[in-house]
Amino acid sequence: MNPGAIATIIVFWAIFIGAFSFFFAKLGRGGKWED
Amino acid sequence: MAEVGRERWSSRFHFVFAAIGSAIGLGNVWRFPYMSYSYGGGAFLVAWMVCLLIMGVPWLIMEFGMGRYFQKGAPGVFAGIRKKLEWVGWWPVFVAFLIVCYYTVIMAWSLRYAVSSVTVAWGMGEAGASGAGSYFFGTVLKLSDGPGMLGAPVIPIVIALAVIWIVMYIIMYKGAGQIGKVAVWTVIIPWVLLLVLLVRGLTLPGAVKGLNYYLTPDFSMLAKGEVWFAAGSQIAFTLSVGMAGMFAYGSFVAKKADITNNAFITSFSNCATSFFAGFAVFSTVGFIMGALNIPVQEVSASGLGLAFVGYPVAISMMPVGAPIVGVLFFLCLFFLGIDSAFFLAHGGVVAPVYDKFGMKPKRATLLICILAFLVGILFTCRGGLYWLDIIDRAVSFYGLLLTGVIASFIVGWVFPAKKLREHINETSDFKIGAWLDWMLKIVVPVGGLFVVIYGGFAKDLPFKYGGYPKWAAAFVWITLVVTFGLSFLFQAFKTKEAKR
Repeated sequence: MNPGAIATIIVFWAIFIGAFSFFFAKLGRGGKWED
Repeated sequence: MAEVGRERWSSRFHFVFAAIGSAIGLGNVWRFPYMSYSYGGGAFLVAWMVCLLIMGVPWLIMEFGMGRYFQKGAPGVFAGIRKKLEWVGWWPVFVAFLIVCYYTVIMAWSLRYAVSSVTVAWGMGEAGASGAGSYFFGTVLKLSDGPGMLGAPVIPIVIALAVIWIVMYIIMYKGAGQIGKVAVWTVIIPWVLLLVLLVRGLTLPGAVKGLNYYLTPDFSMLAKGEVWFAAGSQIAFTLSVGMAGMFAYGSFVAKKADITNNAFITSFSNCATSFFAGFAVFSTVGFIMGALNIPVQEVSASGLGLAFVGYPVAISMMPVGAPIVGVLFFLCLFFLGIDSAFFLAHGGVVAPVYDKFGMKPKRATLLICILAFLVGILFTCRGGLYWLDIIDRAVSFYGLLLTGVIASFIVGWVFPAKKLREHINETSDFKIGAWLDWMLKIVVPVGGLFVVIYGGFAKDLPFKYGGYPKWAAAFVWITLVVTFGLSFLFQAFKTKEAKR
């Protein structure tokens, strides 16, 4: 696999993991799946 | 404002899964990966992520938030803003209805193929690969020579379509509580199936070559308008906005519940699924290139061509486990589609109908299921594929974007956006700033119009859409005008419910 493709994989999975970490940390003010 | 007896999600977990399921659909597999390959790989992903943040997320927050504020489906929301604006909510209802009519037919093809895959009915080896196209168009669709030759319905497809609508009714008739529970499974199952298909794809020879086409960035593409058009259109089509349903899904949320975080989780889950699906698709594309010794341009790697020709070609050429991979792939398409379908039917159509006409939800569900099945038979006919393509252009492109542009403009300037933002910030896990106002007032309407003009009017007005005869291509515009007119007609209906 070429370096550009590898960089794309790393960058975009980092974005997704970072985003989900942020959203789930904020979840329900107590971290619960409450409504 | 809250309406006594309004159906509710059983929990936040179920709401988020239902929303993710509605957003994740066939396009995540057959549209996104090809767009990435065509428009600069990793560079396209940058444009796609920007469009997600400035267009997709605000649009989704708007639909969830307005639904929750008014506790109504799309027509009730716009009637709540101004009585005379109710039509703005009805137009996407007709868009959703027509989309679900043909979307379920595509799911019926998937079921048909899941059965055919047990014996790899189109054949194994190079003979099977070369016959995959004729199997789809000839044996499965029995395709006629043009839209003027509609022909009779193809019975196996009609039977599969009937099965799908029965399943849909069973899922939907108890409302949001039941839908949320089912959605957990209809989201997780395709994720697992995509993972299995990814592992199979990566273990095929040539997979890496395919992934290089999918991911290698060409940043010079970012200077081209067409890349931004492609990214904007992909975001608009992938989040299931502009189809009325997200207003209703938001209306099933309790008043104290979060909107912003749920919208971000939904949007990013959908996009992560697209990104992930691309690995499964392009590893297989790389395998086809190597197995048949053809360039990537000659592989059917997008749309119906990928699902019903390209992937069957790969299955024919697989050294081991071809029938299993075939069954899993088409079941994956089925599960990807079904939660989008019951979103369109229930959130998009059933909820607005019982809101307006005061029908019992179960009766409204039965009525819409029967009606959509009957209309869907049109697309099971021998010439149905042509009509599917024409109606898809009318509603899934023009209808979705135009209704979204108008809705965003009205919410942004008339409701207005600041009031919506303050409403959702009262209960959201994290506050959202004034940037949302400008996204709804300017960026979503202008971005949507850019996509409509650049990718739609500029192509379809000077040239007939799809190269169809003039009278058939005219149905793109006829469908738009009729659905537009019907939205005013439905606004004009005076019902006891509407007078409340």
